[in-house]
Amino acid sequence: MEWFGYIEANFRYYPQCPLYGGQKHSYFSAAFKPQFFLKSSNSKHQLNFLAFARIDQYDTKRTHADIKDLYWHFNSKKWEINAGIKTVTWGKAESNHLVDIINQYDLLEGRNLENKLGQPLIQAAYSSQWGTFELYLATISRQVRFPGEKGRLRPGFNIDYSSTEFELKNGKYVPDIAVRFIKSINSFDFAISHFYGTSRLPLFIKVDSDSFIPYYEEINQTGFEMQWLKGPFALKGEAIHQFSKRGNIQAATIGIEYNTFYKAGPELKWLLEYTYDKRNKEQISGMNNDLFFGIHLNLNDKQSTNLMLASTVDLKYGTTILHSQAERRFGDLWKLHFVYTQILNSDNEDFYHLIRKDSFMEIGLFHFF
Amino acid sequence: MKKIAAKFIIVFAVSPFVGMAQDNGITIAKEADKRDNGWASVSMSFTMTLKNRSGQETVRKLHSYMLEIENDGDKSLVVFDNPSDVKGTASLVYSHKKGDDDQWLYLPALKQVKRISSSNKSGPFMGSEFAYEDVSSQEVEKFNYKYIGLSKFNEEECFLVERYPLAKNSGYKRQQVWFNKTNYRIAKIDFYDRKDLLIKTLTYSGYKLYGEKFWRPDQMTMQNHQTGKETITQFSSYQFGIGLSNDNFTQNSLQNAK
Repeated sequence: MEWFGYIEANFRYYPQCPLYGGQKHSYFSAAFKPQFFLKSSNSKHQLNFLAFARIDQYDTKRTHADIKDLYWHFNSKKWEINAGIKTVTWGKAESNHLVDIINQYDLLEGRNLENKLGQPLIQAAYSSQWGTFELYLATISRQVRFPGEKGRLRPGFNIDYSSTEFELKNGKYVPDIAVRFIKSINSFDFAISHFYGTSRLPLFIKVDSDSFIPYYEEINQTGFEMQWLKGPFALKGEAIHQFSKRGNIQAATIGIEYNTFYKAGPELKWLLEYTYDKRNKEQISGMNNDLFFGIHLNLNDKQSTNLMLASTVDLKYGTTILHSQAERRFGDLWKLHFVYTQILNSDNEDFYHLIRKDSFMEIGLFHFF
Repeated sequence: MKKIAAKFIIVFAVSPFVGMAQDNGITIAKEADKRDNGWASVSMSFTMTLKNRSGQETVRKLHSYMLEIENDGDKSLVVFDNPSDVKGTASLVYSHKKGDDDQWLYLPALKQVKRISSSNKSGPFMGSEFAYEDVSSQEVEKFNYKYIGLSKFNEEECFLVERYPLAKNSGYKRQQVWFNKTNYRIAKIDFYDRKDLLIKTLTYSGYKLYGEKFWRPDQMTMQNHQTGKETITQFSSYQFGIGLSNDNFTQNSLQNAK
C-alpha cells in the first residue's frame, strides 16, 4: 500500500473591510490530502481511499475533514461496480456545473462548485458498443455548509443547521437514485442523466428576523451534457430540467472553446460560455444570466506552469467577477498556487451581493509526497 | 523522329524508377508493420529522463497498456506515476489510420474525464522532446513514402526510407527512417521540420525478442539538435499475452486506471 497526496500551507487576504461582525482580513490555513489505493494483481478489484482536512486560523466552521473516497471497485468485462463513499463528476462545461448532482458541494473549499463532499453510494456501470449505462443509489444526503461567523464568503444571516428540513420523509437517509447514459459518436460526446431524490442545493427559509433554515426539496432532475470537437474548436453545453412541488426549473450553459498552439509548446485556450438559470438568487453559484470569458495558458513545460484569467458578468444585474489563477511546480514535490478574485458591481438581486466585500488574494504552497 | 523517340524512352525509363521508389518505400513500411502484427495486447512500464543542455535530469515514470485493433490504429492507455501532483493522470487514445486520433484525459484532481483535441500533434508530450505525434501509433497510412536506398547505421545494414506525414498540422515536413534490412526493426529516425531543417534524431537500442516474434527496444533516445535537449525513454516489464480487449480501453477504464 502506497500513500501519496499533499500538505498545503495557505494564506488568504481580503483587502476590503468585512460586512459582518467577526470577520477578519486575513486567514492562515493548512490542508492535508492523503490517498492510497490497493488493487488485485489482475486489477479486477480495487480499494480507493482519499481524505481531506483543513484547519483554519479563525474560522472553526472552515476547519473540517471529509472522506471523499473510500470505495471498493470491481470490474469484469463490460461491468463495473463501485460501493462505498465516492466522488463522481458529471458534466462538460467549464464555467458552470449544472448536471453534476451526485455529490454535495464543499462550499468551505471553494465557490466554483468543483469541490465536493464524499457521497456514500453504490454505482453500477455497463459499457456496451452502444454506449455506457450507469445506475447510482446514494444514501445519507450530505448538506451544504457555509463558512462560520469568523469566516468570509458567507451570507450575513444566521443559518440554523440543526433545524434542517427535508421535503422527503427521512430525506436524509432515503436513497437517491440516478441513471446516466454516456456515448461518443466520432467527435461528439454526450450524456443523458436523470436523478430522483433530495436536492443538493437547499432553499433557505426565513424563520425569524435573522435566521434561516436549510430546506432540501424532493426533486427529479433530467440532465443533458455534450461536447463537439472540430479542429481547434470545441462546442460544450449542459442543460437541466428540474421538477419539484414548487414548479419547474430550467438551466443551461453553452460555450465555445478555441485552442491555439505555439510551435515551442505552449497552448492558449479561449473560452466563452453563457449560463441561464431560472433559479436566480437561490443559485449560490451566482450564475443565473451570466457570460463567462476566460483565457487559459498552459506552457506545457516540465514544471506544468499554467495561468488563467477569467471574467463573469451578470447580463441583467451587472455583477462582475474577475478571477485570475496561476500555478507552477518546483522540482518534483513542491507547487505554488496563486489566486486573485475580485467581485465588482454586485446587485442586491444577486447572491454575490451577500459577499460583495469578499474579494480576495490567495497563496497556496503544496508539498507532495 | 529519333529525338522524340529518345525523349520518349527517357521518360519511359525514369518513371518506373520513381514509381518503384515510392512502391519500395511503402512496401518496406508495410513489411515492417506486418512483421509486428499479432501482438494483441501488451503492458509495459517506462521512464522518460529529460535532460537539458547542462545535463540536468528530470525523471518521469509511467506505465501503459496497448491493444492491437484490426483494420485501424492501436488503442492505448497511459498512466502517469509521477510527479506526485499528477499521479494517476491517464490518457486514452484511439488512433486511426485516417483522420485525427480520439483522445481523452482523466484528471484525478477533478475526478473528470475530458475529451481533448488531438490537433496539437507537434506539442511536447510531458515537456519531453517527444511530440504527441511521435508517441502516438505510427500507422502506415499516416505517411507517403519514398525509398532512398541502402544505408548503414551502427554496423547494421538498413533500408533508408523517407516518409512524409499526411496530417496537415504535423510539425514535420519529412522523416528519414532506417529499417534493419533483416528484421525490419527501426534503428533510427531523423526528423525534419516544416523548413526542412534537421531538428531531431531518434535512436532505438537494446532490442529484445518477445513471444518469439516481437522485437521491442529497451531504450529510445530523442535528441533535439536545435535546443541541445534530450529525452531517454527506457522500457521495462513488457508483458505480452495479457488478454486485454476493448472493454479495458473505455472511458470508464480510463477513470479506473491505476
